[in-house]
Amino acid sequence: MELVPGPLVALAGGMLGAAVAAPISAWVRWRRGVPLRRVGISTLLFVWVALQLGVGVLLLDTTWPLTGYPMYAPPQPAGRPAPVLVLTGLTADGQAVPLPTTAWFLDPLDLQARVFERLRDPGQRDAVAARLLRQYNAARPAGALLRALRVEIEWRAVGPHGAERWREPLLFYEEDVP
Amino acid sequence: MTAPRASARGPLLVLWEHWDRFWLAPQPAVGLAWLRGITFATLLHFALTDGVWVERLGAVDPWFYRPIGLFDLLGIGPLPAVLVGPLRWGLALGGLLGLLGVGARWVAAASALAYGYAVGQLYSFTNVHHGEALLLVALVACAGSSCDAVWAWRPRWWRPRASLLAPATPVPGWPLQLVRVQVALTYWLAGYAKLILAGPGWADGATLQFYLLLRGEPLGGWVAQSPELCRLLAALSLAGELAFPLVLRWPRLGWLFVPAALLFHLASQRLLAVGFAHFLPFLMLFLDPRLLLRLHRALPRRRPTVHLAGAV
Repeated sequence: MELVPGPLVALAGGMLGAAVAAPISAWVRWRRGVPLRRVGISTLLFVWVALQLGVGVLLLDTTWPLTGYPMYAPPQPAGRPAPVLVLTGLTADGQAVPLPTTAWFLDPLDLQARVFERLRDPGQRDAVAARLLRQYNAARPAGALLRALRVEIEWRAVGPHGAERWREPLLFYEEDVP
Repeated sequence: MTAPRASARGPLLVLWEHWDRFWLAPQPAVGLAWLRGITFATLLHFALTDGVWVERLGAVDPWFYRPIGLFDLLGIGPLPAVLVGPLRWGLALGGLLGLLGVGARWVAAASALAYGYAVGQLYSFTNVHHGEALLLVALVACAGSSCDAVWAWRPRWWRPRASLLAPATPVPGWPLQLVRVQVALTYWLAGYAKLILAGPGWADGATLQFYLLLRGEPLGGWVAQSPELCRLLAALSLAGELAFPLVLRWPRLGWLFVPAALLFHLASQRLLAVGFAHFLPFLMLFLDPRLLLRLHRALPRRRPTVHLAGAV
């Protein structure tokens, strides 16, 4: 919202204000003989559209089902590599298991959006890794539980010779074995 | 009821009259059946596909839970495990009943609440995605209209007061308009966000290239290697999003914009793995209901059965 220019914030404020004031206008119309059902429907539609426009102009997201639509809008400088979280689990016998992020949530980037910054924070990373491991193990048979989690950042870019990918280790977390 | 005298109407009331004309202009009732069919088929699809994720939420660590604004306001916590099954299969049942037209208005109202709760839960555990609000709007439109009065199955145990309508009966067109406007606003606001956050430079393709790499789809990775292709796709997307609302003023433009939007979503699915499965079907509502009516009339009729008892 802080990225929206002032005049547009004022415009959105006007729309939200109009939505709040619509019932007054509805009362006036009803008093002037417009059928109540018609007044009710058209006022509700006005309120919905005004709220949707106001929230959309402010680029708000947490107000679902009324939201802005900033998907894929934040600008990226040309050639900037894309960072992607890559998780690998390790079983007790040292076997590496690639873990798709869709093992946690529907969209491949949902998990990344939720935990990426926390995994980069030395003060939080172990606690977050422990939760991820516990969550993943909850759906696995007892004999195939993961004991450790390796987290890397895969950088993806387009270089002079085409697509390039390289990985940077972020953390290794191992569960304490009682 | 008489209309207010012209001299007594202020500019605000005149504006309201234009507003009402846009929303309430009559359309054949077949449009409501069309809306109902698309809405409940989409709901059924949601229950059978994304419903798996709703069920899984029952086992997700509540630590991941960050409630959307409405849930925060209402004090709604993570989905209780005991509710996950009934919620998913209740939505599926709602989809089936609504498709058949059995008590579709009540079913739509209940489904809207359940669907809003289910999607709100999903978004409280993940990011807010942008393809799911439309189905909620369509369910509300069904709940508020006579969507169960055309091509509906009336079992013996269900005796609603309202009678069935002929497909050509004129009814207020607001339910269809509401979904159309919501679709147009979605596109326009997506284009607006790009202009505000990145400016017209968004169309240079660099941002699209970044997101293609981030999403990691094989075809997307291939497209990302061509800056020209990225630029072309970005410019077309931005122009299409900003221009889509023109369809509301000139409905014939739908013949251009609706196929373009379908293509856009199919391409997004392949290049970015961005599924708009519960948004896409509603583009069909830009079809003029009168066209459906003509199709309906053109369908071969079943001949009346001739009883020959007296002739034998």
